[in-house]
Amino acid sequence: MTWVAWRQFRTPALVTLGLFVAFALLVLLTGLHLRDVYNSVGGAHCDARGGCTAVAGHDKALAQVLQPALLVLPALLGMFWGAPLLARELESGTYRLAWTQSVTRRRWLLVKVALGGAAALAVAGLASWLVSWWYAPLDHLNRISLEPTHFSERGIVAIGYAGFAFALGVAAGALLRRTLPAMIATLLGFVATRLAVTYLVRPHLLAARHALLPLTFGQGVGLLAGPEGITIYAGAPTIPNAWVLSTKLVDHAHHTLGSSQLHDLLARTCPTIAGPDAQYGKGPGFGGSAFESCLHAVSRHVQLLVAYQPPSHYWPLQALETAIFLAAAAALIGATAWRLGRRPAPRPAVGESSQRAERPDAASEPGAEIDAPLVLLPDERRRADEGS
Amino acid sequence: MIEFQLDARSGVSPYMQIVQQVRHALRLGLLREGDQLPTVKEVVARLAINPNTVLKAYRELEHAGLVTARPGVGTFATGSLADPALAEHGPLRRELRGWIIKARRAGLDEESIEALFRDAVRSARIEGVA
Amino acid sequence: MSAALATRRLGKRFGRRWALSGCTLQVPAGRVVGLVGSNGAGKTTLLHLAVGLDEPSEGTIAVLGEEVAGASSQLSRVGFVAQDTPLYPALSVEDHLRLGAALNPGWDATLARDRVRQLALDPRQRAGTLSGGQRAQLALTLATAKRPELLVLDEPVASLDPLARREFLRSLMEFTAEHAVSVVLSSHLIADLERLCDYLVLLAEGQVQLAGDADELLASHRRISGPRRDSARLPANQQVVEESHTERQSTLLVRTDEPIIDPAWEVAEVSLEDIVLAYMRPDARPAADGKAPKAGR
Repeated sequence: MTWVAWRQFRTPALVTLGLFVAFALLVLLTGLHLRDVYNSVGGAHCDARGGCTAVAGHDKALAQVLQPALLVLPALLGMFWGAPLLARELESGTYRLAWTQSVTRRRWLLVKVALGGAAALAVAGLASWLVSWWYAPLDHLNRISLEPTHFSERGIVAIGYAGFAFALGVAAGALLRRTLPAMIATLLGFVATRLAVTYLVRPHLLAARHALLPLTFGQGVGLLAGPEGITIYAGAPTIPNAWVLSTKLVDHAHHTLGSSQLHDLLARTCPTIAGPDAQYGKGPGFGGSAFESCLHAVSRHVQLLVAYQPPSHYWPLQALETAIFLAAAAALIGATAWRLGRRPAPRPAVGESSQRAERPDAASEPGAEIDAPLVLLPDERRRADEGS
Repeated sequence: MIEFQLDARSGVSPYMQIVQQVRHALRLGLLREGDQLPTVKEVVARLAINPNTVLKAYRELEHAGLVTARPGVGTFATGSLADPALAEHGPLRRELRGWIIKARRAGLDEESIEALFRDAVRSARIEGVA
Repeated sequence: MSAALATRRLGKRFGRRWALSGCTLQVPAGRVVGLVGSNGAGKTTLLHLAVGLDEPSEGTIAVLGEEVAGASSQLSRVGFVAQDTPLYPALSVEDHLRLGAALNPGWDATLARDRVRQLALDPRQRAGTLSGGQRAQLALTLATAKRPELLVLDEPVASLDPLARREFLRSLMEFTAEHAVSVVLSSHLIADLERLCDYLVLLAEGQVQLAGDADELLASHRRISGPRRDSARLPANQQVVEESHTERQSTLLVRTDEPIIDPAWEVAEVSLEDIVLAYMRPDARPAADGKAPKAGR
């Protein structure tokens, strides 16, 4: 069976191998060059004004193309390796040849899945290593490793994604029985699941940490005209290599401040800007220095309460998410294999003559004699409304 | 070695055709005592018919004493359908002669007599009385 | 010996339509069984149930004494040639044989090699480029080289030209002659019945209309014709299968186990083809109580 699985997998495997070798060469050659540039400007101690930008700007086009590589690769593996596995056999009718040899359907499926799945994981693993290696200098400078999309494009999660997409393809093929619909369903299912896990599951995989930060740490801190008047706005602060989940404006007692409370605070602290007589957007109160001093005053009363995943959670989260996707893959394969081999419970064979004698109604049963033409009573016939 | 033919449209079942062809060959001397008949496999390969059919034909011929099966070797002709057997049925012959004379007097020509006779033999077999 | 195929009230439904229903059969082993019926009668459904490609909606089915459950041991006892002989177009003849060897413990490599040589097939030719007759022969090779006890073929010659058809059947019968095997062969062509089959099963609209030994069917059916007579006045032991009447004459196809001695009737034998055609007619069902069915005209 292993030979059969390989023989059927041979062409897609070799095509992928060829493409992958080209990909690997590209990555290795350009990556080495990138590293040269990086080291020549001093590595991590690069000059933020000139040197670091040189690194960031190097091979910008390639960097943009490679960025989503580890998101696209699993989807392609799922669509081109997973979906046709069952769907092609069912669509073309060759299952009537494959499943009437001496191998059970389950074994047939599991061997094919094991081969394709292992290959998918290996490809994803190699690609992960290559891409992460290539980006290492840039990632070192940018420090956004836990940022949601970025997190999915590095590390080892692509291995989990690949396994899952492959399994999803196989399951879709079994359900839909046609290759093209299965490919489309795989793509859509993969994207939907990945997005759902990224935004609904990942934030809760490990308990978030909390920190109190000064107001000024927030990005783009400013004033906003709200429904109850002028209020303070503060965007999420940048914490290097961390993932900020939520940012709240709080007082000293750590109570969240609503926009009306913020407005009152502003009115008290900066009457010229936010007081009842002030005119928003006009007059001397809105100059640069008045604004600065207002913020300064306000920040004595307001702080940022930040919930975030710290950098130390990076690898644990990678491992957890990979495990989740691989577990889902295993569940999908298990369900598909179960459904494929489902059989009624074994019963005693029907043809044995000794059993025929035991059955009480054997004599009156139509067709009990071998050679008589069968006579069918009306209530045994089940006719469809539409005849054949 | 004798080679069988099959006439799909003759109305005679395949097994009966084989039996008849063997008897015919024996009668004409094409098949002599000790000659081997084709194996079941050879017949089947040539005619594309059910092997059970050939087996049945050979069994019937064996039952009639015309062939004998030697396991592992083949089937061989043993008897012959020589005319002397026919000569023994004197009374039948005389009765038949009488009937032929009557038929002639009734105006039947030779062809009609043969047709009438053949038909009667057939009907008797089909109706199950002979 | 166990029956080659035994079913009990077997039924299969696709959506709302019953492709097969109330099917009860006991097909003896060691025969060449003809499964006949028009297109859509349920032949493929029955055969797929027999080889485990489908599951019954009701009833049971057993092959060679074992309930059909997809077990590897049973799969190796049954060889199957599906309709349109599916093969892998990208795989060569050699690859297919290798596939057979890899997936069947009982694979007879010598038999396979000899057949391929006999058929003059190029081992390296891809199956997608073979002719219809060659594909059928390759599929037959795959099914026979695993040395099954039961060989099931679903309309294997339906789309072949007459020469290829004859060659295929010749190969099939040769194999049957050499090895103790039961054969179930479905076809909607009934011309070859008498020379090939010694057991017959007729399906119409998903139900078994006729099942029996070919010789017995031939011996028990007669066509009788004579002066016009109401078929209900026939003796009870003569079952009317088909009848037609003109003003003065009646012609009936009857089934009976006893000689027909009424001198008013002219009695003739019928071929298997005639018998099958008669039972295929929608109005030719023998009724449960043995009385004659409604007239055919």
